[in-house]
Amino acid sequence: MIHLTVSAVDGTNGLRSPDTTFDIVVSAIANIATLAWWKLSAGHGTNAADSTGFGKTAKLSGDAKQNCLKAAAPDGFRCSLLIGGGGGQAIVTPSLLPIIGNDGSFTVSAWVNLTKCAFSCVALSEDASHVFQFAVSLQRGCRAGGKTGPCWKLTMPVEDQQGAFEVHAASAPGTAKFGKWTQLIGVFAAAHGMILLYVNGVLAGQGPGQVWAGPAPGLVRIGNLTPGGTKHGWTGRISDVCLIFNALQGADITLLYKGDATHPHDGCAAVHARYH
Amino acid sequence: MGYRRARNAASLLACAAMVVAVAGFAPRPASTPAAPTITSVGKFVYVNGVDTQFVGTPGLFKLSDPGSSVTGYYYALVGSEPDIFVPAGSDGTATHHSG
Repeated sequence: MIHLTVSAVDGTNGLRSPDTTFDIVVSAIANIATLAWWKLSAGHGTNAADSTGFGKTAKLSGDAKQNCLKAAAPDGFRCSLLIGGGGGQAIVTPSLLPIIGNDGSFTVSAWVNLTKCAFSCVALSEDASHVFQFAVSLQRGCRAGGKTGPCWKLTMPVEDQQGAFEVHAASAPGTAKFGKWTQLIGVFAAAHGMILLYVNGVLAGQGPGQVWAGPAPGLVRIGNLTPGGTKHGWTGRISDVCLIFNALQGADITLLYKGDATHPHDGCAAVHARYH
Repeated sequence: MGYRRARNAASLLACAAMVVAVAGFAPRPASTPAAPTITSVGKFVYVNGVDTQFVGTPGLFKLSDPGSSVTGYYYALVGSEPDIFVPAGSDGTATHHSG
């Protein structure tokens, strides 16, 4: 429940009225809704529009720019966000509340094409107060099953405290490829205490996840991790990013990866259209 | 003599909602304004305390206090003290989208 609290004021004498509160309650029936969506395909400019119409504009900084190629990416867009490894990013500042939060289920999606990465490179994340709420990234040296190599990861700290333990859902070492368009879907299924990572529409890893409330309206970062800089910066392209309320599964994951007849290859558009 | 000045604020939820404030303005001796009225308007109507909409549904709220001499409103979401001021507009109505 969200409380909208209002007080009237007479600016001529500074007197304020008693508060009035309106309790905004949303249905307990779990629906699916696209809460923010950036195609990043304008090809120019320092702002990337939110295609949901909710006005969550992403502002480009540093060496991040919207740039076009001759050939379209698998999502159908020829233009995408290009970051040169200098710590650039596209930042979205919510107004009062997080766009999505770890207090409930969510799904995030991005098409990525990473040129290189020294250690950890973050495609998409959301800030908390002291850490971050989630991060979708490539880690250069993942280890599992006796193998070492690059993997895709969805990471969530277990609380909003410095040094908090982090849980992961990761693809197998060696499965993350450089210079190749890849679609990443991260899912937090709060009711099941699970986080899941899908790579090109296929479940690639899962792990435990737990609910905690992000206390502040954290920034959403495309191509970086709080507090910014080059440590976790991106070198390459990112396209068609969307944040969705609730945990998609099954056919909806496929829809988000492939799109549909009306929105071929553009899964964000297909999901938004289905549940709008 | 009486005329209306309107102002508006914005805000809301992980989905984008908007608050439109409409203030009644009638110069009179200084007194504490009456508590304002909040009304859900627009395409999707919320009812105070009732789950009439799904998550992600934009809300539009009108703030009014026609019986008082007010020049604006403070508002807040969640549980904090109202601290975001909605300034008066000059054209009678105004809107402001949260970003």
